[in-house]
Amino acid sequence: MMQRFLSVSTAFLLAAAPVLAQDGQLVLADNLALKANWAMSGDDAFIGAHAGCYEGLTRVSQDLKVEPSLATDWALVDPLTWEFKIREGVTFQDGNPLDAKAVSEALDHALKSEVPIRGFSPKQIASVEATGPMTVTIKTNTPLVTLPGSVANPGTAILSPAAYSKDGINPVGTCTGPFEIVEVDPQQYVKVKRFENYWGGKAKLAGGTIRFIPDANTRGTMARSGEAQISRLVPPAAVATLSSGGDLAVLEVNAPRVLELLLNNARAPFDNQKVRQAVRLAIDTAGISNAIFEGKSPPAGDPFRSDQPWEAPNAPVIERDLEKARALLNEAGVDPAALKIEILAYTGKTELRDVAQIIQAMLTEVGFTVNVRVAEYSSIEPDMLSGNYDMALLSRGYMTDVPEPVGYLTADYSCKGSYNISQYCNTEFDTMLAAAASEGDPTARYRAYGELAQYVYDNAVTVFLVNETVFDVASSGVTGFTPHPLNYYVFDTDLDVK
Amino acid sequence: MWKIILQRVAILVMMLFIVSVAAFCVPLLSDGDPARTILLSRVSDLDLAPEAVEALRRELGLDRPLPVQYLSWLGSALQGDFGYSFASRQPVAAEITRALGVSITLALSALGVALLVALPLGTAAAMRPGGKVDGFTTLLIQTLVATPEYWFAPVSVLVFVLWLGILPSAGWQSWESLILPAMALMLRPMAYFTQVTRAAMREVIAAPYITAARARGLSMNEAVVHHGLRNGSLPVVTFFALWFAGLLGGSVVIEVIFAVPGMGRLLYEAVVNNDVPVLQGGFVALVGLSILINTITDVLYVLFNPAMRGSHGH
Repeated sequence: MMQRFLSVSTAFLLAAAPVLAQDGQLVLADNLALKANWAMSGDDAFIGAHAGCYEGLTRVSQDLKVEPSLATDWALVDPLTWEFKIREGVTFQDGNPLDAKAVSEALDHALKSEVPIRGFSPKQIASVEATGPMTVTIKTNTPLVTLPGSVANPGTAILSPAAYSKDGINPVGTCTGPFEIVEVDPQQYVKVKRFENYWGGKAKLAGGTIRFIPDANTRGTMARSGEAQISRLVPPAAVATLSSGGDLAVLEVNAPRVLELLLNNARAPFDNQKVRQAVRLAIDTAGISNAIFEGKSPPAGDPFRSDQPWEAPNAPVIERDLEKARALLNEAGVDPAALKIEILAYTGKTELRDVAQIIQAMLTEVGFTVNVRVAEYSSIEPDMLSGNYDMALLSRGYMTDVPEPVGYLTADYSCKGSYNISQYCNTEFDTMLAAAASEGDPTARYRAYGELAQYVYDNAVTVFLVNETVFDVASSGVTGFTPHPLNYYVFDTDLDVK
Repeated sequence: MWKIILQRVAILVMMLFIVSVAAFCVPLLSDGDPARTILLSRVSDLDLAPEAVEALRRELGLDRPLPVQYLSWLGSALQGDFGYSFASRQPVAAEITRALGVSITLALSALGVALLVALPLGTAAAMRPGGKVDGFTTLLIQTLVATPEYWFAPVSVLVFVLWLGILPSAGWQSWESLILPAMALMLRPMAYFTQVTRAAMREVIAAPYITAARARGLSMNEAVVHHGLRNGSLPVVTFFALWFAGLLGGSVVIEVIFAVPGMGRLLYEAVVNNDVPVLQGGFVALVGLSILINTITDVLYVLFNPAMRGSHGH
């Protein structure tokens, strides 16, 4: 132990100057950090994608369309069978050629992952097989029209056979992407260099470093000091300072995420739709947007943003109207003064405490007595999942496994949903959801998601507060960087820094 | 001296056992499901697939009864195997060794500088009570004691990183990245060391052997340097050891702000993520080190203070 300590200390003391920008090199201050030895089922896979190392069979464009990547084409052969044509002329960074066999082996590893990968687990996938030199056939257990989107998820990245061993996954020199991971310090950084034989053409940058910086303020400071050329997820409160100097560009990211006030639909008084509508009328979402999010996160009507193809067709932001709220409570035969309501909020997202207190004050105006309980997420989750609560604040991502909100609608609002905190169960909704999930035509499917969102809105199942906006910062010399809405890619062929 | 060491070894074994049980019980204090908490730490998602939670529970052996889990851990730990981190899947011993290396470097740097400032300052203040140096020292001590690290850290970043641009703001990649966290950590120990040195040296200066030394013709400075410093520094040694043991795992805020991969951050993340193997290994290592440091301090005390040698049957 002493020897190891001395070697660590000596290496530290002899190390060179701090990592500063070098020509053709870019430093990214990332909010993610390596946590699980490159396990494909978690955030570590996103670091591989940020690094420009991981690539899947498909990729997701900035406007959320599924595009070719390592597969050039795909087709639904029968309701349970997808066929993917693998791109010719691609080599892994270790020199091995990419073919159907390598792809099927990589996806087999993904399926055998100790913790299943979202959207690509044995529950959904029956088999993966190389059915030709450059053809891979994937059979599913039930019709899975969203599969092409699932294989864009960083967790389904295709790595060379050399990457997989009994000790886990080693992405160093085993990817197909425009950048090669050359050095990993799990506590601090990943270093990458350009992969000269990349199938999509040489990247502009020579290389760079992804530094793992857990504190959002520190990431902002690194952008200001020039230590990082791109900083992910800086605090909203720092945006004004960061954008004032002119050397930095603050980039707004319309995150596929909604801040919502969940109501326990299975328990009085929120089992009554009129009471839920009254609560919605009592809350000033525009006020919350301005007071807490400086107007940057717009007030929400339904969970989805207005620029997305699955927006509810007619779900305007509700204007606060206390008279109507009181009238609805009267109609429902509910005396709010006789009720004690509790709002749950969790500490992981600091602004939730303030939002809870604002809502507490707003609901008090219509006569409710409201208590706020703030605790660690893991300690309030059991109560939320079991339905032992009244109201709960939640910041919820709605595109977690595929670039469509089907997973969110299923988990949160179907009768057997695994994350149905609202305790909402409606057979009509479930029938509509099943039809949407099996609709092969993307346009019709997206429209069907919108109708489901409309259903949730019309029944006032949940009070949607704001569609969240997050902020990245890039120095003015950075070109070719647009924050990806699903947080998939950063080091890409077009990324450059002067 | 051997008696002290044997006593300490007995305490060490007992404490390690108590700490290992306590560390094992920490996750039980939370209402959450340990497997869900661990999985939540690996993904940015809140909606966890139930089959993923169950798979992880089996993989980590969390489906076994608690006493079985504990005994299994204890059996391996006695053979030097602290298991694998639930979160990173890396050997716990390697993670702790690496983090301890960082924290020891940081703590020794902070305390070393604090000592270098405190000893001469405290001595100078003690030699002329009520004088200018003494007044300045009192003011300095009060200011430093009242300066929180979480306030000083961002201010130092503002000055040295953003205004002067001479130091890195975060990370652990070069000797420069040590400076700001060490500065933030040294403030309060420096105040305490100065205070203790001042008090101890005032007693020493009034001691008969200093009067005797001066009667032999030595100047006050010579008398203090040759005869007083050794005795006056004894309480500082104790304080140094206490701070050293405390800083090894207790500089969480500074390690998070400056992205220092030390013990504080490792244990903090282990608590948040229910990473029981790292918690157990980490607490055991910290308590063991703490007792070791105190034992060494006691031994040093004996070496520094000849009067104590007889009382331990030397």
